Amino acid sequence: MRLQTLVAPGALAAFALLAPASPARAADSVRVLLAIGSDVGDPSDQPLRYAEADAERMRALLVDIGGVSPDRAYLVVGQPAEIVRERLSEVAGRVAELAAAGRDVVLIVYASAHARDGVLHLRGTHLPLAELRDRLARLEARLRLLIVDACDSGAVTRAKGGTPGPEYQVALEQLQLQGQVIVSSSGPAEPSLEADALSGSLFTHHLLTALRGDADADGDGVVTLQEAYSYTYRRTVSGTGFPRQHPTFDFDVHGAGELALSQPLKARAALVFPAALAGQYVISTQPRPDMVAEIDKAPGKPLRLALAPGRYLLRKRDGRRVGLYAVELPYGGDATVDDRQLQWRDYAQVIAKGADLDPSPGAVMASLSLDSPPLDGTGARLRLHGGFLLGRAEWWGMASAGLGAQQYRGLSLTTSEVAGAAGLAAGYRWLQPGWPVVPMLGASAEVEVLHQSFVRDGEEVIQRVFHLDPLPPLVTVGARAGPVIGVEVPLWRGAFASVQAGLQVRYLPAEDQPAFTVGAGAQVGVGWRL
Amino acid sequence: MTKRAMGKQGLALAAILALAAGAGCGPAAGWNHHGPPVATLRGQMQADSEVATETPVMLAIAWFPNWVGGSPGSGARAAVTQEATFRGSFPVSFSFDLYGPPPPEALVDLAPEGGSGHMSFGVLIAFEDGNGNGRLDIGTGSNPSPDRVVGVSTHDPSLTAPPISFYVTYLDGQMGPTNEFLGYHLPRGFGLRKVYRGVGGEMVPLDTSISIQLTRTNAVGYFACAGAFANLDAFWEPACGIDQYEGGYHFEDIVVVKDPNSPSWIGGALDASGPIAGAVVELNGVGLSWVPEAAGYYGQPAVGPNDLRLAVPGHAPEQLSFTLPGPISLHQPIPDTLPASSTLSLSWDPVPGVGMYDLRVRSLNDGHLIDYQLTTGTSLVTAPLPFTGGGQILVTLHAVGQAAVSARSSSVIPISSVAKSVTLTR
Repeated sequence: MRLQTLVAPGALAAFALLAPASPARAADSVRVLLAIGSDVGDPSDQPLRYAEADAERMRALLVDIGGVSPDRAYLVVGQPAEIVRERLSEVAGRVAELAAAGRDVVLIVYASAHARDGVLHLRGTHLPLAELRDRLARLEARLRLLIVDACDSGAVTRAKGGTPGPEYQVALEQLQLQGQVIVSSSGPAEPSLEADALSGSLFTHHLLTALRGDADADGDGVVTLQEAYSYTYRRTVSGTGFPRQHPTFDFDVHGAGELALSQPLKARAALVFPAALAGQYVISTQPRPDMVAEIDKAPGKPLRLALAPGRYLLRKRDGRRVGLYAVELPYGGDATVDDRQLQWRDYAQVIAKGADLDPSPGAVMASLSLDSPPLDGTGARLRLHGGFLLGRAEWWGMASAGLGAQQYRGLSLTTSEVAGAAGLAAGYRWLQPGWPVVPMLGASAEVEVLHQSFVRDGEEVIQRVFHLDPLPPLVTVGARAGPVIGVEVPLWRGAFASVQAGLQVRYLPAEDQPAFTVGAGAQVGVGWRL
Repeated sequence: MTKRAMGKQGLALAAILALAAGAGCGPAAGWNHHGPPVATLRGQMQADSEVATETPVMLAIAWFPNWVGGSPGSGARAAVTQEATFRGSFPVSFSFDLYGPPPPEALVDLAPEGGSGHMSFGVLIAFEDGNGNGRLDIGTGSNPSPDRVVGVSTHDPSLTAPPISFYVTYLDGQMGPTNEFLGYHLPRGFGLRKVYRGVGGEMVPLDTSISIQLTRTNAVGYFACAGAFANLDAFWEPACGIDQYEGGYHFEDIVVVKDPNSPSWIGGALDASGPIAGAVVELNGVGLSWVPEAAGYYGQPAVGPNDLRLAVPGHAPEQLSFTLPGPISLHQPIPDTLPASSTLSLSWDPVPGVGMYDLRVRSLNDGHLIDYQLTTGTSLVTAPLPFTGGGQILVTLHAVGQAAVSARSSSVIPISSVAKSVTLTR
């Protein structure tokens, strides 16, 4: 058994031989994840803002593209140490079960919290990192990866007895396939920083970006531990001032191969940067502007960045200008970045607008609606609508106009109806990254004009024999209003589909029924973001 | 939303509202919209006793295109209904609006016989909407209508014919020159024909009050049957499982006296199996003999009082007394010839006991009716008599005596007549 502590990514080159390159490469290999996060530490600690969110993000990403099935991905957030220990025991039991069943178990533990002197602070309780490390060491998983994002987290390697070595010093060609790897966000006595601009910790933010595909240096669609660590180390070190934050790496393994941490190629959705693109891109969610990734795209090699389905804002800085591009990532689809679609704004303007920044707040829509009969016994109404949809963060509004034609039988005549409508609708929508659809709730109001013309049974005879004039057409103005509920489904590029249903209180003066009635309607449409 | 978008939306809305205002707004027409009626029938529903129905009574017209005969058109269904909105203060009076011509399947095409357009005859039916669908459903095969017919504007076949009944006519074109009903002088559009008990009828204004007797027998359900009157050669046959005579029989005959010196009469009784040959019929104590060719009994009533006794096997015997009117005395004889297209004027002395006179002009070539008129007076002028067939016509004037009716469904109408064939010259 060998033990090494590394502080520089160059030393990881040989670690590429450690483990299978693909999470799914070994047929009987399974991954178990425990993600721990706690914003609240000791009473004397300034509460963190993103530790728990980082744990959730890490879990979501590893489930999505890290080969961890949801039922083996444990999440413990905002809990004291005893609960974490209980969950560790549960995980240990699960690992033992899988190992007893002959499965090849890879265990990943991620922890993000306050720490001092090598002890995690969890809601006023303490969990020594050494205890965590040692408990993992006793588990029957073939390979155990502990990632700690906490101040002074490098102490976990020191406590184990390893000593950080100089860069590029360690040769790993003889390493074995099994063992334990520890990655910490900072060295001993170093802080681990959070950044509001990133809505997360610096280390985890870069690690997540790495796993999404930006660290895929060889472009094989797989991000190995080596690639992820190298990337995260470089970004973390360069992203901090003084004192600098140096992630550390410690391993105690045997064998050969690579540990593939993620497979962006298998993501449900991805943002694809063609090879020719170059520059710094910042990707953040919309409407809540959480920064997801910062990409320093070099020309000559394409990049596929795994992201959860949803709506994102892409920014590219070019001197005093910022190029903006809003992109919909549909569930199970990719979107390709094209600089020609960037809308260039003045940098000062972008800074001023902040979270309200949206380069494509509007969309045109065409839809087909089916409404319950506005007049008893005359059948449902089918109408074609065109409209303009305007979004501002989670709020949406729409103006539309519709037209429909209908023919129906009456008691002794046939009625031809042409209806025109104009309406407004507005409401709230839930734009959550990772959700394949965008739920919407709101209210609509519409003014409609009905034009009815009539042909009686035997109309020709009635006029010729009974000398009666044709029945005059009728024009009626009505209105309707009510709640609507629906979903938007992102399709391709700016295209989306929309399904809505609603209840309507209708006002329509009519001969044989009350002017006020209650109806229902449904609408299916497609739209294109401008 | 941008100000520009709001501005465009507002303009569109304003345009729609302006269009609506310009066109003249009003309440929207629903399923029941119909415009003004093309015709309205009015009348009274009558019952023998106070009628207190829990179920509302509705009205419909059942059209019987095969009554028109000749060209049955598409009248595969003998009875075709035409619903219309009923409003009124039932059970005393009603107003029945018609919003269009009868349905196409109720009409007989007049083109094959040289006419144009269509015609049909119908009966006004009062019914209770058994299945609640708001219309009169027609029974088919052996199944009666799910609705209950409670009365008709014509006569209930299981009962003695009422003194007056009505049926509705429709004509939207021109009858051919030999149409059987040419002499009815049907108006274009809807018409109303008033029928006097077993004798004949006349067209009356459409606003004439129609009486509908609510008899509530099973027999009236016959009128809501697709097979009703489908075979006019055997009209007595049940349809939709309904026996028009409700297990009884019907004796309704007209005593026609053509020669005052030798009165003759053919009469008979009917049930659901057809003419009854085994009845015992006595006129003034003399047994009458069955004449198979005429499917009736032959006898010689006397001018003045007569006594008829009738015994049908399986039924109690009954007796009817009637008075046969004396001969008609014309002031001027009917001429042997007449110029075509001229009219014929007749006048006569009143016949004691007679309240109505009936003039019929038929073609001797094919028997079609050229003119048909009724009067309670003692003179009549025919319509211009067209040259049809070989120009041979038969002019018949009837003096209709008082009907004798039994408690059962039997009746006798005594008539004396004068007839003469006339040659029309061109």
